[in-house]
Amino acid sequence: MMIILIACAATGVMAQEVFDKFLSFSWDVNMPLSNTNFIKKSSVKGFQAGYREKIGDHFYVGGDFSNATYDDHAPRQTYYIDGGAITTDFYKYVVTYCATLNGDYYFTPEKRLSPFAGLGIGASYNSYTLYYNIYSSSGNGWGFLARPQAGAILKMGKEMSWGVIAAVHYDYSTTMSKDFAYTDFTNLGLRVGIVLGLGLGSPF
Amino acid sequence: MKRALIIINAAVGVLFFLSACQPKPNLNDLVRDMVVQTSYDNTVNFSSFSTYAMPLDTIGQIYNASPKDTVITGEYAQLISRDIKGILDKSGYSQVGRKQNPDLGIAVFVVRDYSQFTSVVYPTSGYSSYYYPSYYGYGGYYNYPYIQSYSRSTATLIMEIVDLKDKNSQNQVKVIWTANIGDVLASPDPRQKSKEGVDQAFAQSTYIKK
Repeated sequence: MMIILIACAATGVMAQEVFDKFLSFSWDVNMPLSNTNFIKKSSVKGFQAGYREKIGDHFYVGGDFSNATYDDHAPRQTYYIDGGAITTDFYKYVVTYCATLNGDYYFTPEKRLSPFAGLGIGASYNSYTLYYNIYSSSGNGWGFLARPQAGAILKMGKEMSWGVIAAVHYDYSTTMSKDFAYTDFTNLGLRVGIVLGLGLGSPF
Repeated sequence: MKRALIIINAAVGVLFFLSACQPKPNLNDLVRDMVVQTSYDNTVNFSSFSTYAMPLDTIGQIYNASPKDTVITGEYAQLISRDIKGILDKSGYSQVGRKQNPDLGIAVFVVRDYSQFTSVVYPTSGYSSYYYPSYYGYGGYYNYPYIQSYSRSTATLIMEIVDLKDKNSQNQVKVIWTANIGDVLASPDPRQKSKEGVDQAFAQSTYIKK
């Protein structure tokens, strides 16, 4: 939706470059794709912060940091296992922290609206918690993270040093948890946010 | 320019606020019903037993703060012990006196604030039966895995069925069924919810029948 809005707003594009250096701050919505038996509800509690610097006509490099919190509730029911059973409801949480080094390709950096595609490589740290009555079980782990993403930046007018960004990203992390039956952690995300120009080409 | 900075500051603030909201469930929601966990020795044929012995209107207690206070009496003990008796009777077993050579012993006790005791197990592993040094000797060996509790004051209602016919070479008896029900102290209605917990423990253990 945001991408469409940006595209609409960009009608009457004027010639100007995307910022040479910029920071971005985004709200990040994520849909878990792995082990949805544990958590299948999408997370709206996430953010992403990033920095990019131009190294070529179309190429930018930088880094991202992101955080997302997933939660779900399993209503009270009886679970049968070999040798026993347990009746309870479960409150489940996964909190992810991701840091990546990124490379992006901007298709039309000279225009007000600039679509891009990129790849982030880095690490993720996940914590898993299960609450039931006054008890809790928890676990955590590190893993390798690959995050391809695609989106667009819309610069807000010729005199403005900021813009808006929207992107979809797919995260694949090797972060696993035996106790919580995760062999990896993958999710699909949509982020929308703002971009703050820092370098040449901005009015600063 | 000023407007842009205000927007940016507001957006950053919102983002960090969202991320700072580390989730924890509402305690009232968590403790509304007790967790009921049961485990049993699946090599045992529970229908092979006929009689059981258990004290009525009295249940045991393990309480670090008051180690000599080993018995609970009163309404709670009466409600729980009589509920258990009613269920066992309905399941086809007959209560007899301790000296009448019962097949099964029923141990019921509450464990309070016992730091190493962790009563509830997430369902990932099977049951391993264990032996009591002596029946009604509540200070026996416990081999429960460690799970955190975020409450300092805890109380777990425990029921055990002991096979009094199967003694080992050291004359120890075997615990063939265990139920852990908690948390009693955190519950908004400890008596009713404990009774519901006892009922649920037997409801999910359909193999306990004559």
